[in-house]
Amino acid sequence: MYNHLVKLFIGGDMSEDSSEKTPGLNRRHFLSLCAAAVVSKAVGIVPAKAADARHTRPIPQSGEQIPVIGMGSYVTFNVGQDARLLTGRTAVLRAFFEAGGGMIDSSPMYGSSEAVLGHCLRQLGHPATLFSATKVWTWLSGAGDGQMKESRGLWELPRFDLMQVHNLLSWEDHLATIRRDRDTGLVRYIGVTTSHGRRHEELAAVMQSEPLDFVQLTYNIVDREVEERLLPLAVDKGIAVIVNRPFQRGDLIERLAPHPLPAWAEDLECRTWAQFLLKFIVSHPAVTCAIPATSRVDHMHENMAVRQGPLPNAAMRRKMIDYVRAL
Amino acid sequence: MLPYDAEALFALYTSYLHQLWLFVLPLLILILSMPVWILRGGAAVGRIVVGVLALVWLWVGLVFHGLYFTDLNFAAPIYAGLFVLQGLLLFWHSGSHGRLVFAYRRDVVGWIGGFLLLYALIGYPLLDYLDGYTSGMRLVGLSAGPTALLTVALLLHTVKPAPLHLFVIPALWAFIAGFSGWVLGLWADLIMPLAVVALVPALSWKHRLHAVTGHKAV
Repeated sequence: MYNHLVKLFIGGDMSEDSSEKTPGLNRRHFLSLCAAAVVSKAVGIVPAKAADARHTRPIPQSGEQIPVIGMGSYVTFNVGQDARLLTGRTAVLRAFFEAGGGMIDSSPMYGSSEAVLGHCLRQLGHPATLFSATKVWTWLSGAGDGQMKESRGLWELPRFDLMQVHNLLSWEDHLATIRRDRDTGLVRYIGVTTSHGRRHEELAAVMQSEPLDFVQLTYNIVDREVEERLLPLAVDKGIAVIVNRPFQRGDLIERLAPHPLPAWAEDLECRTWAQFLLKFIVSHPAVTCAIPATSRVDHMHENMAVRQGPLPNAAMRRKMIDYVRAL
Repeated sequence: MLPYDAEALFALYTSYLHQLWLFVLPLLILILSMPVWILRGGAAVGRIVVGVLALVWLWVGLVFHGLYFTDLNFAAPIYAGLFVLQGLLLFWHSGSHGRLVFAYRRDVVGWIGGFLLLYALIGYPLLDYLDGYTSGMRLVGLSAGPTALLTVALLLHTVKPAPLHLFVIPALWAFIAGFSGWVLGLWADLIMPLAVVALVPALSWKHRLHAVTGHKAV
């Protein structure tokens, strides 16, 4: 009976005879897992699959797994050519990759961020786990090609994993250009972005009409408008979701900082408000990756720790919303 | 709201001042001598003062905004255009077409102009220093805010009212700088919109006074 259950849930063999054991669990371990599952459901968490598992999500179109915590570069990596600041940002990126980081998001709109990322990536030897995501941002349809080529030069990459149309600017023309680039191997995935809760109607229309791999939008524990329509639509259409402004550019953390974390945040292994907020975001089943931005190594460690440990289930998410709303 | 933070901005200023130090000292000497020239008065001095103002607007537009600030801010080319336009307007007025004669005023207009002059020369870099930015302080003639303030201050000290179109871009910049200062938490910039608010009654007073009395500076 136990063996059958184990095979059903986990796939190992429950036999206590070590000579018959297939890689898997013994009875004691299985019973403790069952107990844990019952307790987890009671307290509202979804346990990590194994003690050292780090959360990833699949890109629906391909099944490729990417870490649920990536990194944004708006403001934080726009530091020009100052040697001290460049060294600091390289340290931040090092911490990101050492914690298993993947997606880095940028844009030509972000000043020198792309150039700074290129510098840092060069210093770090171009880590293999990088998932490069940038944007095309120009009114002029004909200028998209040149801008994307310039971005490849700044990042010092032969191609991008993801190219997005920034804030839907001239999206019809730029999507066509990006598709051509995908056909020639310069891009692997295609997406569009919005932020600050703007242009959601237009985004929904584009998601309905265009074959997209990714959308990027704003979503956090207080900006939850996208739960109504855009996130379910993304699931329906098999579109991966990147979440920007997880902390409202730090304003949310600043507002919450005077208040204590709830005692039950410990069940989620959340020690800071940043972790609490990120766990809320990435626990939504439609979310593929959140991209908090930071210029600090300690904050990077904090953010990347969210990739481990339990995630809240639906009941716990409700509890998190209610707690924050009451503050 | 801005694609950069204060740390990156002042790192840029530091780099800008260090790389162009050869030009910084002569420019500063030129600018700091202008208040002294105004004491002498006269049409020739007026043309020189306006000519120097034109030069610094062109410098800030082409060099600071055009070559340096574009690293941080996608709006820098627009700012460069505004500053170049103001520089060209001032150049036009430095020629025979404009006849701006400067003289210190000892009325309300003069006091406002005097305050703005001191703020541009001393207040701006001092507040940056007190904010902790000790190496990239914003100096008049080399950075946008103090240059705009200096221009407004000097134009308030003209015998006849200066053409209003010479105040438009400095006033516009005052609001841009004020907004940036608010976002970045920089005290020095927050006075800029207030300067515009003070400017309106000052200009109005000056125009009325001139219309009534053909007033010359005392």
